[in-house]
Amino acid sequence: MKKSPPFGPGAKLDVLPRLADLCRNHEVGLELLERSADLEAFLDRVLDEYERRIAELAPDALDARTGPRSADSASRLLALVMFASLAAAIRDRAVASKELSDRASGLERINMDLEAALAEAQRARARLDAVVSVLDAAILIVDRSGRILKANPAAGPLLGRDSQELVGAELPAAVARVGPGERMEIRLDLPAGGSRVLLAARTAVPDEEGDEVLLLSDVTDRYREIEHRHDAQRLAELLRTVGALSHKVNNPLTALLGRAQLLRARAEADASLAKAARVIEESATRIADLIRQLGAVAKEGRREDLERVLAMDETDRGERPEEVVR
Amino acid sequence: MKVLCTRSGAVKVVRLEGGDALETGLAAEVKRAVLEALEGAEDAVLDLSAVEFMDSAGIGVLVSVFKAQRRRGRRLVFAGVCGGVAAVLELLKLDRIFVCLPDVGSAVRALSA
Repeated sequence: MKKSPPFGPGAKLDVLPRLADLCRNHEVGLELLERSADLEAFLDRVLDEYERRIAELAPDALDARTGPRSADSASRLLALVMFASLAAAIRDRAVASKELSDRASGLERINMDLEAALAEAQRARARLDAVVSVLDAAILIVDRSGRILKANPAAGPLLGRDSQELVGAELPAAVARVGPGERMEIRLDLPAGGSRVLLAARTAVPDEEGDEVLLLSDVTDRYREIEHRHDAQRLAELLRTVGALSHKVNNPLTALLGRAQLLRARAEADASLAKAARVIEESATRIADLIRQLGAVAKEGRREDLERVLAMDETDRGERPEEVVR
Repeated sequence: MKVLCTRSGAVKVVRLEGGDALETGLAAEVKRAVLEALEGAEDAVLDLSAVEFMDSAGIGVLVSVFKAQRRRGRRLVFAGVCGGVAAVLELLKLDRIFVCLPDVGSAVRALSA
């Protein structure tokens, strides 16, 4: 029977039962390596251990052609291989653990970023709520069908409704006429009577729900102010016209009055002609009086004065011209 | 055995030439020459494509050089490891400690990335 060589190629690996002894004899001490502070420190210690153990090897221990030539050399090589295997396994585990740790750290950072973003969003929401709650303008969130989903505190008073009742209600018809993306003035009749002029703007919320936001501002006072200003401008133009007409009419009227007086003085023999001359004179006097008053009103610039002059009862002024003609 | 030093971009390339075996008689001199070549704070490639055999002293040189480069805070990649050298590194599991790439080009690219 052929006997196995003690060492080298073909040598029987009957040294495995002695691994524990080898560990002790060659100070494997992997538990110390496992307790290294981190992967880099672990690698430093592993390399130190490699360097020390390789230096202890006989030069031929790694020669594949001969193998270790002594029992001590063989056991040292086995111890080194065992150390190397365990060290490599520990390193692989440490690398995997570090990768997991890095991923966990990454997830933790993402989580922290999300929490920070959420906190910022909540702060922004609180600031927005505060602003919305003190706004004079009404803000309504409506769904696709025009049903009110949310309303800020100003919405109820502005629409003449209870704010709580607004949620779930349909938009008032005047408001519903404002289309998406439109901005326009509308007149809203209030449930309790009266009306308001509102500046309404409607825009879509950029989400998948298709909700829309309506912003309503009460511009009734501004609207009335503008109307008043337009009235004043129209009145001023009217009065300027009246003043100019008064001035233009005054000269021919003076001539008419003078001729009427002259005619009346020369028609004493003809009672009918004298009476006609007197009516002409009186009418011209009344026109002159009216022109004078209109001229005064044009200077004063007050609508009520103009209306008073125009409303004067002509019958209070004496005989009407047509009565005289008959 | 000669130690030749070149540069590829920011990477220093050190090549062992002039003999296919790194053994006890040469180990000390080669170790000194390689450490000298690697002085300076640069990542480096050690080209072993011309080396076919190493005894324990030769492997010790690789471990020492690798340690020294780590102490400098720089990286060292072994390129062109083949034949008996690859078998020994695998036996001692050093192929899982070191970074070994097939050739100098891939090693330089890895260090330049």
